[in-house]
Amino acid sequence: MEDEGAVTARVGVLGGDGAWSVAEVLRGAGVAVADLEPAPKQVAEAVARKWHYGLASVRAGLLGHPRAILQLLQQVNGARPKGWIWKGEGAVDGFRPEIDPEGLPREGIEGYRLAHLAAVARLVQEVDRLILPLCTARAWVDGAGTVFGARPKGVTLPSGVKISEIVFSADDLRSDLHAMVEVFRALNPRLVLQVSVLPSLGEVVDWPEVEGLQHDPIFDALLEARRKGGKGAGLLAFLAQGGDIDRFAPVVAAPVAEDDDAERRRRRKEKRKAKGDNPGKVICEDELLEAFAK
Amino acid sequence: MRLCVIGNSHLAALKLGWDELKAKGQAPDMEVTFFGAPSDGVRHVRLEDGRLTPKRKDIAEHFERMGGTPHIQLDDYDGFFLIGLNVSVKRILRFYKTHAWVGLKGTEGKVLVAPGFARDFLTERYGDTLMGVTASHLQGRKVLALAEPLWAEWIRAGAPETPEYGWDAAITAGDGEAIGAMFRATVAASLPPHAQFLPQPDITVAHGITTRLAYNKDASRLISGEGGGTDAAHMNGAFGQEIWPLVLPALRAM
Repeated sequence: MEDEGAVTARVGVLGGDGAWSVAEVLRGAGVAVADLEPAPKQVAEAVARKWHYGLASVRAGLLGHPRAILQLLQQVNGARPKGWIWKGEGAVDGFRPEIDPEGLPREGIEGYRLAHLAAVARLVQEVDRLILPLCTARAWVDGAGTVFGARPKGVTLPSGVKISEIVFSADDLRSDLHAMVEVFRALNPRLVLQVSVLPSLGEVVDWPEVEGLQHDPIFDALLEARRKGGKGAGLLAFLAQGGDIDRFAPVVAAPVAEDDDAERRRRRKEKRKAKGDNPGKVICEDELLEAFAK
Repeated sequence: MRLCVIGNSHLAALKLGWDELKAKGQAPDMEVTFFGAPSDGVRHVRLEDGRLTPKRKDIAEHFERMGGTPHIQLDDYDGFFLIGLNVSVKRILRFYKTHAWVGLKGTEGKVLVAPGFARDFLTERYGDTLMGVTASHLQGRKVLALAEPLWAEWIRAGAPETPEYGWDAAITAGDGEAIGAMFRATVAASLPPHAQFLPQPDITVAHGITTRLAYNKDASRLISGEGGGTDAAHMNGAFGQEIWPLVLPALRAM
């Protein structure tokens, strides 16, 4: 008989890669958060963190503002705003300038962005639930209303582009959230959207309620608690996957991804051992000894 | 100069090359002692009281057979030459199967990454090899490091019962030279400051990531007694002969 409390939704996190990572907290709670732009499996944690791998389901940066998320989706649909290739030590993606700590070759940055947009498109199709951390009503905006990331020191904007920080009104936020939901629906009508309101990532904002966006204050509180080392991993994982809190029955937490990796490595090692000598492998010992026998 | 050569099976090409140069009276002015252990056997060596001491009997026996002593007394040498020790371009080729950095051509179906990320990732990985660990045992001494030779270029066609690392895919895509350059840069960066990387000489390299056929010819017969053309990983004495003239100048410049 199926466990009424079991939840199996595929979960993604879009944004929130800033002062702390929602995706990391969820993974720590046992949620298999989708990763559509993964680092190689063997990457050292410090290297992954430096280059913002694993901090969300795609390397989109902090986002956290409805207009930024909306713009990203519009770009997935083919919109190509101008003024986003900034100049530092190499080219910098002005929509996510915090992601790559070093600039990229100018001739490659457009392809790099298109590859990122393709990953965002796959994310929207491949998950059942998408968590959208929201944290700010402020944004850096140019004359055309395009939202950019915060300009790092030493980085210059293209000539003719000026950005200024503005605070969006409640009406603007509502309007952008509506538009965002509509674009998500057009891309994947089955996708469940959940916003996570995280003052600790930015500022306190009175976020408007919008149809098509779920918001669970208990989930947010658990996220904050887990970030600080608190309990509640099981419930957080349950809620992240769309579980109904009234049906939650504490069980042994699902093993985290690291444990799965360790188990896979152990099985591979045992398999190799059981297999014995690989006829294709170079017989290094013989080769070494023969050279010294001459 | 008293030189201590430490390596795995790839040390064989150096030994053959050294013997051939000596026979021709062309060996550099060095006193060379070899210490080798197959595969990753050098992993079982510890630094104790100024000696590199194997913790496994079979490794100590290898050392004694090749170098005359079951351990390496560090003060007996003016310089150290590390060869192989699990540093190979295969690591980048494995990465290249799933990822590609901006600027490469073979990006289809792969996660595209910044060149700086590829550099950081690979540098860290190479630093974690037996080469990096052994070099760190030799703090304060002159250390020269040579990676495992690039596999012979005939491997592009594939070989039965031989792992497919994707040499031909990388070369066909036009990425061989860029991958070779990334290999040299990241291995060099992975070594501790007292150690220096000696890249495989250009004359031996084909397509950036493979070794020219001449340096693999008969390697399997000469080294392991098998028929020719069965071992793309190990090189012959001609390869060793190309390496030796580079060793003394590099050590003197350190």
